[in-house]
Amino acid sequence: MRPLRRCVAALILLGTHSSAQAAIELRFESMSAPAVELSDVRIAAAGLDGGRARITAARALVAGRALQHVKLECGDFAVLPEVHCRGGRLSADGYGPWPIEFTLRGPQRALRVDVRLDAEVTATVTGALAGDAPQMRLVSSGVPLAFLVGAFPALKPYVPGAQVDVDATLTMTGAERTPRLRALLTARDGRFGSADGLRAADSLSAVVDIDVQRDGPDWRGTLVMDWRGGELLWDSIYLTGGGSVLSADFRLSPSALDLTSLALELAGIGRLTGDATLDRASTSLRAARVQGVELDLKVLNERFVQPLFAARGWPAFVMQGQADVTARLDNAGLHSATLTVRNGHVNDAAGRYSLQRLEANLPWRRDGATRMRVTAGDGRFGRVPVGRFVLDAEVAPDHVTVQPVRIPLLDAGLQLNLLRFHREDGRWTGDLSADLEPLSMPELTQALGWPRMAGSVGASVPHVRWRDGVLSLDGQLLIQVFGGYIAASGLQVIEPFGATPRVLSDLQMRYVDLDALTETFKFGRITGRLDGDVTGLELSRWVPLAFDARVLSSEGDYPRTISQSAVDSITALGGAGATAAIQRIFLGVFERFGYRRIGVSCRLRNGVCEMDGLSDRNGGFVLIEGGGVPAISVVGYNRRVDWQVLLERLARVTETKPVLQ
Amino acid sequence: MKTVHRIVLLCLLYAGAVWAQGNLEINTPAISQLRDAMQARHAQLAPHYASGALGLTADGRIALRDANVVPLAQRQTVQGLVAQENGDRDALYREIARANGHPEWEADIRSTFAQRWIGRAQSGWYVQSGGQWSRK
Repeated sequence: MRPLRRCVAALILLGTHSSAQAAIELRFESMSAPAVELSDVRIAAAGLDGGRARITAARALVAGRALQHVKLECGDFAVLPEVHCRGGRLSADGYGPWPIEFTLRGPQRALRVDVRLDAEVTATVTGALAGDAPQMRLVSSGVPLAFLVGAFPALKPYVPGAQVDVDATLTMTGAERTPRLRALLTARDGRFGSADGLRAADSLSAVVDIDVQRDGPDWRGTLVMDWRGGELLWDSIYLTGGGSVLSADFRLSPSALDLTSLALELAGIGRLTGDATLDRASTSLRAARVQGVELDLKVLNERFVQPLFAARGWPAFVMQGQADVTARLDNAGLHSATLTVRNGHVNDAAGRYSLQRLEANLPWRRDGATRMRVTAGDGRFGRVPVGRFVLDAEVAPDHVTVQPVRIPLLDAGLQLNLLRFHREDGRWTGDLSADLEPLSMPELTQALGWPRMAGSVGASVPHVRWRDGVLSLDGQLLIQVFGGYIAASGLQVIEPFGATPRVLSDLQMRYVDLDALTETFKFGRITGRLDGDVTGLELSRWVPLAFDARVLSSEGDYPRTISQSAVDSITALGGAGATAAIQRIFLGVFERFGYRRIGVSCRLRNGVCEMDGLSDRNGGFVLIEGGGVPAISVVGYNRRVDWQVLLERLARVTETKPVLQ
Repeated sequence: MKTVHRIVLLCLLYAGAVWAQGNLEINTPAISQLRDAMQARHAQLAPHYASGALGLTADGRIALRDANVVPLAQRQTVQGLVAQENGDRDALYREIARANGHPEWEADIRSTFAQRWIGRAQSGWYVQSGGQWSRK
């Protein structure tokens, strides 16, 4: 204030010494007032008590914002008996011209400035420049945001727009006349958009409350931003409605912006707190710390996690529970973070898995290894219930190693002997080995909603590799079932979590107890043992596309009988026209028959199963070769069967037939 | 490559915006699944091709080339549709190669499909060539 006042005094003095009618021309190297600095100021006035005047400044710094070629032209300018400018026009490079009038009068140097920014927007500045606490107040309604964001070049590509009501008061406090600015900015119809349209907002309304004062070379104060409504899209994240508030204390130094006591209230999710330092020269983050306590995982997932997954075509999941989070960032990005989950529940949206009562402590750091622990109270994989288990893992930037763990499944358990991922040449690969302890088939089939099966099932997975989206089995996957076993070799699962998972495998089945199998499926009873080989099995989305399958009675000495009901089932599988083709000897008299061999093959291609049997007979193929007394042979004639039709017939005969005891 | 071209032509007759009826040798369950999914999705994508929001890329995929023409509330959904469509397209090329017993044809099939998709794009749709977008 003092320098400006000195300048005005000098002007008056010069005017007094000049003739009242003579032109006055003054030049100042610089002039300053609170929050205003002018350079190369030139004043040309017709006189001190009226007449035209022209005041120019080559450069101006107004509240830290640089303006070039500032020009004020007054139709009537006077400094006596009061300072006034009427019929004025104010402009600078990129701004104006705006009609302006001002007066400065009385011992309090009472100021009033009226500027018309456009046809509908007027800004009024009132205040008192003299006295112990000089102050100025700016009030304006509907100011285009473009007037205010010029100081933030980083925002320009986003073409921000809004109507802003401004109520700002500048006071000079204390003996040092320290400037303090309190500004309330109410924005409506806010919008912005990046060139690609993936970062955009519309109909935003927000209130920004700033209280800032000069502190040596710095400015310090508080900031509150209250988002009250509108739409916001930031890459994949879309938010509506507002209800989120950001508040912070800050210190703006020539080199940095320090934010302390930072708090972000996220509507429906919780509160994040922390602090941050931003480098002004590079407009980048130097360091930040963030903490969040008791965040709502359900809303957090819906608003922030699911959209990120959906945009990448990844499967969605539903999450509930509470989480605490801490994170530390530096100029290279996220340095370390810890996520703590309490009473969490995760359900795959497609129903493939769920984990309940999750407790997790998941620390991570960019430059070292951490130990994570996840405890699941219970859950299910598909329809199979999973019991409580604790997962301990070492996580580092280049590897994830899960400690051996037993996951209870029904009355048994899945023993994960090895689960390890590591990054090599920027690609993640994985290795797994596991054993499934013998699992009660009655319990398993009940859980799966399948027909009840007897016995147990166990499996051994010696080594599975994960490379480039493909799970490959080294060696054999051995499943013990129905008294025999099924071995899978050459097993590959391609993109198991993708849109079109595919499976390639060969299967070997040995010594499977037909009695247990047929009883289970209510097929009618067959006693005996069966071997089978399936080569070139291909599934897509878990549906068979192709295979070459052949099953044959096992070698050895064991009872070989088939019930009348089973014969009927086989007949039904052949279709309505097949009944006549089946040889029936003593059928209707005996309930059980003997046989010597069973043999059937199916070559699946393009949805059609090409069938064959033990040998050809009378233009057909022998499926069951009779033996003993009474004996029965079954001959099929339909060599091409639609796979879907076959499955439907199988479903019918296994669901409706009574169980033979 | 001639065989690849013939396969792609057959598929395109069967498939696409574009999917039409046909009686082809290539009709595995996997391709049918993909075809059905893409066909169902096409009704949602078509308005965005017409508006210029989406375009057909030179690598046989689709891209969100100008989200500004999509209402703000729908942009997130359209991003998801693009991700799903591209997942199915990638799988389609892989499946056709596999179904014909030549997985190594995948790149050729993709390339030929890309040309055919672009060739069959409706007037007004955006297509990519040499990294540049142009309107048919």
